Amino acid sequence: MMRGKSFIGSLNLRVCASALLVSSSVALAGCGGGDKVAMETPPPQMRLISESQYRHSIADIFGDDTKVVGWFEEAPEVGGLAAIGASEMSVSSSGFERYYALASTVSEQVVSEERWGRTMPCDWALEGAYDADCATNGLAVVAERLLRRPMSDEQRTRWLAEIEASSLALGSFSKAVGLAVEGMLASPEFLFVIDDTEPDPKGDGVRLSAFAKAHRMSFFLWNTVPDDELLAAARDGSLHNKKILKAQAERMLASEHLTTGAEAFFEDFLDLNEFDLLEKDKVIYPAFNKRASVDAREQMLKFLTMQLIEKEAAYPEIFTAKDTVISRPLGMLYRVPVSSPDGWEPFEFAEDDPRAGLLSHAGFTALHSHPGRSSATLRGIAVRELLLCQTVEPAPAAVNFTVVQDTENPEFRTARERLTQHRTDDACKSCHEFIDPVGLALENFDGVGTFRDDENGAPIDTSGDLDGYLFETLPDMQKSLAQHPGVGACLVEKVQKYALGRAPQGGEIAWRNRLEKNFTKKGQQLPSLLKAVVLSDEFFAVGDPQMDVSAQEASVANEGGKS
Amino acid sequence: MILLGRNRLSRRTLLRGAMSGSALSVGLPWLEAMAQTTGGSAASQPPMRMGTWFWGLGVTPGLWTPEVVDGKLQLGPESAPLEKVKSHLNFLSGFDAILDGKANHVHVSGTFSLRSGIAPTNFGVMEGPTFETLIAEKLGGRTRFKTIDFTATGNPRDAYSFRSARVKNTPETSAEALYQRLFGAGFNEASEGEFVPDPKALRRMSVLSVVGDDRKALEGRLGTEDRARLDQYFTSVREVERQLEIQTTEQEMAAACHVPEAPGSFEANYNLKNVHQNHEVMAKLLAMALVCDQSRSFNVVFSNSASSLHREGEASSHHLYTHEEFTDADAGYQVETSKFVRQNMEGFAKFVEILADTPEAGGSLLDNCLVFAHSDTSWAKIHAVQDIPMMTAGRASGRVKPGQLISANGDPISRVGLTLQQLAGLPVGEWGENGLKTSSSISQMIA
Repeated sequence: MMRGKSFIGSLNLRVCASALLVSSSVALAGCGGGDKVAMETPPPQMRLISESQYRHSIADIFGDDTKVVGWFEEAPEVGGLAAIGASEMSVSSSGFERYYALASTVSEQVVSEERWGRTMPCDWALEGAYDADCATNGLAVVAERLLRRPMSDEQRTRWLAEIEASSLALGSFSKAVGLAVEGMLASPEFLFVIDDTEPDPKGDGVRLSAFAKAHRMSFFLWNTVPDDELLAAARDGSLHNKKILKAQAERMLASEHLTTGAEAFFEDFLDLNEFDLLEKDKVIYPAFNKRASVDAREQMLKFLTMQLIEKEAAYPEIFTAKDTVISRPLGMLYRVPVSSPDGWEPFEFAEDDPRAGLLSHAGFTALHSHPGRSSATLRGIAVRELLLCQTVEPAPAAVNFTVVQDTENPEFRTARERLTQHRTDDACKSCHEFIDPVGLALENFDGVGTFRDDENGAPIDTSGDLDGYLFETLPDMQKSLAQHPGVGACLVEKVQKYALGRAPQGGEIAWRNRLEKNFTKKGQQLPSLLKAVVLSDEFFAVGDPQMDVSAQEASVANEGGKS
Repeated sequence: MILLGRNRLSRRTLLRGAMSGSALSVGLPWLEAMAQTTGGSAASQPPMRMGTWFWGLGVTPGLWTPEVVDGKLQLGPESAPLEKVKSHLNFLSGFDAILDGKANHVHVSGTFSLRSGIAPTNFGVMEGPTFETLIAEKLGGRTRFKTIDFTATGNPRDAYSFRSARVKNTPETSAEALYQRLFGAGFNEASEGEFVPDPKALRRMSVLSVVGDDRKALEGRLGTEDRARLDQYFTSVREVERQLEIQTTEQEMAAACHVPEAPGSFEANYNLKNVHQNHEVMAKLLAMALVCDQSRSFNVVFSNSASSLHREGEASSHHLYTHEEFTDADAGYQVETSKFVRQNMEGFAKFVEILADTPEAGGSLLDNCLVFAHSDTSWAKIHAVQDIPMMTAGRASGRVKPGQLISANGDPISRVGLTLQQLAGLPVGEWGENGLKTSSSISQMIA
């Protein structure tokens, strides 16, 4: 099978470095039996912002009526997350062409007559001369947000000179400001989140600047740029004070924007961007139109934020919860009446309905299916890789597929019968035994998530076992999943990677173990996990930019080898 | 890669190359001659263009490779759709992706080995630039776009062209977007009267240089790997700057160049009917963009690696058929799978026909092109990477002799990439790594 992702192994150093000579270090507990150890800190990061971060940033900076129409280069998934891919990829020339075109359409709106007053402290005119005061004051505000820190004097001089020259050449001050905004929107400081460091007054190392801390918190928790209050705490440096940082984090966690941030994590965690490319055969599945596809993705997000953010339910409850929301296009797939013609309404699966939890949502089963039929294998891989963080090896190349599936063969009417035949091949057997049982438990859902009792006239058998948990029915399987220690551990692993934008290194493994322990102890609630992450020193740890990752990894490994 | 200027091929290397494989290699003289003639301007001789055309899931053994009968190509049942364009084609047979014991990452190893000259160690991870991007760099120094890439499948991930391990060129996915990029704002038509550069475009160039002024300061904030990523970002900025430069200088356009009609909006996905339609409309736009010298390189994807093509109303895709379809007892092969191969060939025939039907300088656009078509695998059922089906179309401005079957015997597939780089005028004498390292180009192709 083809999987359109790259799986690039990042170093997972399970090494305990005892005495590293480092310029900046953090004390960590937990590695090697709880000894306090010094750990090399990671270099500053440069992460490409995602499409949703771009859109939210523009809406928050220039108003949510600003249209962002365009196409984005997507970060590849690395280690299961696009958030890691964003730390590894750059911008291709065709990608930059598009960012540049986007910058142009956004900036034209920003300097239009009706929006001008939002950012510029003077009157708008189509043909106006350069206004030094207006340019200086307006630019300071815009640049601090777009370049993610205040401009240096030298930068300000350059940009003002540019606006002045453009005003003269174009005979329009507003157009000249528009070109400066366009340039900043196309700059690497805006398209990437680039860590900014400063000397750490508490030692001879470096620390993240207050602006960088504000952006790290904001992109992690809200998936967008900091708001005015957080920027103010960055501007006066008070964010370096732990109490103030904690108060800001708590404010952010209590904010409605947390839902936006959580949704961005769920999108990445469950690979929901795949919905953009999801295609179903219209003849076989007429009910699965574009609206149904959009709503199926939205329903999963609404279900997860409702359970995990609003209700603060324990994470495993997402596999058993009966309450969700539904829209009319989805009513067609679930075969239930929906009274609201537009929008969403609460919906609860009946007690005797085998449907419950995330895996019963049409979005999950439709996404992990073929265009014209279900796929126990794709679904099994999704549960294993996405929800349990297990690795499924790609299919071996030299498999003889002559033992085949033929949906019209009277002997092999159900997916189970066909896959059992497939498993007679030794090369396929071990993998499919690992993947298929959990996928076969979902065979009651067809290729678009509609419930069925039989396939081609034969009853569907959903029994199987999941890592030692035996189950008969889908609800049993989801209960097994809820009890599986792997699901909670996987969530913690993905949240940590998402926060770091890379695989954990060295002592960060110990940090993850600590997060996991804390998560289990505190009732497996997502908001408290997010809080624990953002209040950890490791979340903000940064080292000298001029020492590169590989050198640091090598030094950690060498020291670990000596101890 | 060895640059000839620094490390000339020894006589022994040349001889060794010449003796290996049935298609002989060529030494230096023609290379250097070629390097001087890859330019061209709209007013004089049209420039040479090169591009790739990709289809997924290969062919059925024994049904596709043509035979030579009485000196003429006789096509097989699966290559039959190419009958009307076969005089423009070369068929390349017997070239293998040599993996040196590395795993055959299904649907990945074949293409990656062929395009980068390096068998990939990890699934989905390209380890170097792909050769056609090196060619694009060479040919496209003065054009508005280094390369024009599109996929007929609607999926932007369906692309196999990498600037580096980390930078993949993203293709256009709709005819509308391709039209806008090529002929929308920024297309500099030959003007009547005195040329006046757009003052806004001039100011834009100045603004981008202000953005670039912060480069040094930014580099100081980053580690080595991220500095390389930043460097790539600025390379991309440079290409937009070049587009602005072209926009602000008077361009000489070929007489045949005109802005085509804007295409309508089409559904783009793996439905075979839509793929054919999108491919045809986008190929025509590409042909005119080449005539207008907007680019000298292109990459076309007709169907993806592990082809997801499907016929409306059918539960199985081409990919599922390759693995699940019974071998027909009477026919002796997978009948439905084979129909999909023919559909891919119909697509290529259409592409070649469009270039051949586009007039240019007394001949056709195809005469000045070299289209290199290939798949990810040979026999998809077992993911074989031996004898991956490949073709060329066109004469590359007189450099390539078409109408042949070029047979090798398990030679490294990288010989093709080497030959094409040399045809483009790149001073490359050796290319590829380990088992794919070769200094033996395919002389039989050369006119």
